Amino acid sequence: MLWAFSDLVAVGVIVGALTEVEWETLHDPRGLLVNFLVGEVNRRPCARLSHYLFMTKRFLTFCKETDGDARPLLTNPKAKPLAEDDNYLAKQIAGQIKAQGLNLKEMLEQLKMEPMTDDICLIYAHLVLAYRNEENCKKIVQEFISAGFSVRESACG
Amino acid sequence: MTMMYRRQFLYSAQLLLTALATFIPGGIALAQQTSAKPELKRSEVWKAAERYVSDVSKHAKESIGVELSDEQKQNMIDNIISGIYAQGTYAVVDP
Repeated sequence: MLWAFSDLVAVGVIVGALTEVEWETLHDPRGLLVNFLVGEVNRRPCARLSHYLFMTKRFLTFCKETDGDARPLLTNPKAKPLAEDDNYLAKQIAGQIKAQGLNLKEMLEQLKMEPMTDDICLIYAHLVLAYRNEENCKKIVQEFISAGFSVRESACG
Repeated sequence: MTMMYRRQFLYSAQLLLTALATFIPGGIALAQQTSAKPELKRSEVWKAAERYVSDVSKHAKESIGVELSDEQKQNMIDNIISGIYAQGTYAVVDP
């Protein structure tokens, strides 16, 4: 009985010593990964997500322009215009998310997830690519909310 | 003895001809495919990539308050160009 009580005290002390971020990380880092996107920066809600969406749309325009400058080789079945090659687009956008930083490195260091930087950038890239035709990130925010993440619905307003 | 050598010679020649007939058309097709790859001028792609990165940097400054450094911009442009090489649809050529 005494053993069980002392264990409980030990757990209580550990939990008390954890910061809110560490506790949330132990629980599930997904919330923080979503918060990174929809969080406020410079009093702008959803700042990074909006920026990544803008970047994706602008990169698609760049790819279309580049495709327009050179006619794709129709006889080669493997030839894909840049703007239609989702693997290429995802890799490129993930690379650009990583290159821009915007405190991503610091956030992942905090979560002790730095070795997964490339994978996380690729997940973010797939997310914004899936909503490339949306005017803003309202729909993504709604998806987050319906998936159970605590995001203010007006975050992208 | 001479007859045996002659036969061996003819057999080898036949094998050589068969091999040539098999591999040459494939090689020609491959060469045609490679040479027929649409070309992109590196200088033009570079300019377009520069415009793109500049727009992204401007947007980052307006929306997040962080302007991309020259090094970051350069890295992004380099990655875009090497990404096009790696994707393989286009032959990127120098002007």
